[in-house]
Amino acid sequence: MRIRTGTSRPLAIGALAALIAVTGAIPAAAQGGVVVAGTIGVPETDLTPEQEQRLLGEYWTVAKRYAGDPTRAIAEMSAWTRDRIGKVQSIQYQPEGPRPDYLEGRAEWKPETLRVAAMLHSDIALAHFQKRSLQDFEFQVAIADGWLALADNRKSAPGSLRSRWNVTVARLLLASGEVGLAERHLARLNERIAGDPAILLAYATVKETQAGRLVAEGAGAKLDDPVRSAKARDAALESAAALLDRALAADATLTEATLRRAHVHVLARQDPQAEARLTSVLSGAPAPPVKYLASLMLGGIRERAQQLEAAARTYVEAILAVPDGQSGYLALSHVMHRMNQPADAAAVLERMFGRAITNLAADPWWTYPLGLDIALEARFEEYRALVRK
Amino acid sequence: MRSSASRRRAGLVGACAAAVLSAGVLAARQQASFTAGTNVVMVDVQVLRGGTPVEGLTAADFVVRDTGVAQEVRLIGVDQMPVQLLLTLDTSASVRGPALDHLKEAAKAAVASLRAVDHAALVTFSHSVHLRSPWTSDRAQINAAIDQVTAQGGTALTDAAFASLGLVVKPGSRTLVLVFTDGDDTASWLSAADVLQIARRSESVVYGVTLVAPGHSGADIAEWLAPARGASPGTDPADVETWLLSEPGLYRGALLPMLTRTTGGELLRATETTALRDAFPTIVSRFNRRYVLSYTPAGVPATGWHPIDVEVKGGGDVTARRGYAR
Repeated sequence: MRIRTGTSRPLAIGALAALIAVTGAIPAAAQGGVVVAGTIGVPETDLTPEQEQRLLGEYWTVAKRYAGDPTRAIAEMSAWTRDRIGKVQSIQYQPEGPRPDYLEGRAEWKPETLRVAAMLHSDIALAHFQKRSLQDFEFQVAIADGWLALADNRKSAPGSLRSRWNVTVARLLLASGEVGLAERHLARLNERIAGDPAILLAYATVKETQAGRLVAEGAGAKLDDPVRSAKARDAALESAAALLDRALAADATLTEATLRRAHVHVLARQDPQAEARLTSVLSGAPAPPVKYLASLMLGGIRERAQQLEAAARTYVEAILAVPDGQSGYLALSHVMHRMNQPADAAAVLERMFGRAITNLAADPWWTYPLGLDIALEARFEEYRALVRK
Repeated sequence: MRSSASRRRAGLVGACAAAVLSAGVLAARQQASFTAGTNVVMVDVQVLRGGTPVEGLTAADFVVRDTGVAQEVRLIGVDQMPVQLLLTLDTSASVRGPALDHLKEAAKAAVASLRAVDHAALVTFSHSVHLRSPWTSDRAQINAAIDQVTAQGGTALTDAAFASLGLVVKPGSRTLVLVFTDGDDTASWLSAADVLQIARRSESVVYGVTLVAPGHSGADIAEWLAPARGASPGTDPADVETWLLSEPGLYRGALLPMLTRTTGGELLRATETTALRDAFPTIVSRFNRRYVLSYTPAGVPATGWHPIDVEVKGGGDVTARRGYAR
């Protein structure tokens, strides 16, 4: 491999935003150090049927508590070993579906109860994530996903809670710089819930972001040339394009997918195709962040076509859509230099500096690599509220 | 002469720009100037022998060719020209902790090494670019701005380099842009090619300090361009510039090496942040021991890119901007 990703810090931008965003979401018990690597119990191997039933009973007593007293439930479940939790789930996964003997036992089969347990483990997973305990995070995520799958009778549909929750988890990973984990998570998810446009979009976002982060490396004492360096980037772009095409085939109204497909065209130097998609996005009266990003990209295409005045007007449109979008000012200033208007270019920069823009959320371009929906806290809260109804 | 259609188009752009710019800025821009704005070309030159700046040269010691045509040059004493030091500092999340303290110390040391007539300004960048202090000769003001710097977020090196070169400078001054970064760009909208385009029109000299850090391709590229003595030949800078312009994303680590080369500055590689304390004032010292040559171009086209070639009789490592655009 002659190419590697740049520093892992790039996504730390979003990482910070996302981590801050989910901090408030986790009940206090999980934040306050109650979450420990599980210590209660001994290895659960070769349990008798009676022991299995006792274990199930203990587990579901705690899990059900999450609906009314999440802080206590998290504190109690956090003390369980992975082995015990895993055993509970494996017991319930033994039959192909609910059977009379299990219905009579201590297992839980009601979808709403299974989803409550899923959100309990989701919160524990988030607490582990904040502590960068990634193995525990992945384990808890797997348990939560297992309950969500069982709640759907193992046949989750596109748009289901399982799909949406998993996409949010993947976006959290992406936003935190764990691009590899995000990619693996989405690859598995994409196999399990085929044809889900939201999953395809998130997966494509990861591929697109990977493509944009790749940098040329050296071979021996010399830097590689573009012929060698571009291979990995182009492969990631092709993957992103294919995923976005499938997402749009499943749901042609996905504005973000259209915008990203246009950007992938831009990165692949297919400006005419990009321009057509961006024009289509802008004709649909999009939300300000989308209008801003589409205008920036369209302005870039016009600059490359030497249509400098049209580019300048497009950048102005971007700034008017998001007045704190620093990238818009920089793009406008740059094109004014190209138009040989250095005084105007400097004035635009003065205006930009005068706004003292620092907020990570101020410029949609800064969070674009993470996906346009970065309100991860709101998403997790939505799922919690849903299961507690 | 521009056509009426062209004027109409420019007017439309102006109207749009007015929607963005405040009235005050629109008024101020009438006085703003990006370059000297005259036909005189200034070339800021560094001459080293054995790695040490050579002093005491006269105009007669230099041979300057503009687009291959020898020019009659005049030497301007650098003592007569105030220095404008623009500190453009990476304050992304990776600079947190002791590294930030070292960076602040270095920045203050650079300011302390200025003369009374000199000015300084401070730009910091993470995901955003922030003008912390405009040009000032008040040392307390700039030091207070340095003290307030915190570290967070990504790295918009390219955007920061562009904004630094685009900052209005005072005519009659020499501008030193001192850029520090410890990582590759991760957040900029502009591309490295965009910045090099503007750098070719700028009279500012960029000195870079790059920190050797894991995953920092910029530091690696700097080493490949200037391998240690005795090592195998490195990568040809001309190739890297071509690649950077054709694939700005893949070669974004080459921005600072190419920017310093284009503007006639230097790139220093630091292995640890404690070294910054000496590096920053050293750069100011070197800048003060350069030569400023000026000439009125003769026998060359009025517009377009003008490559400049500077030689010193008697030999030496000469660093100067590689040309200018008109």
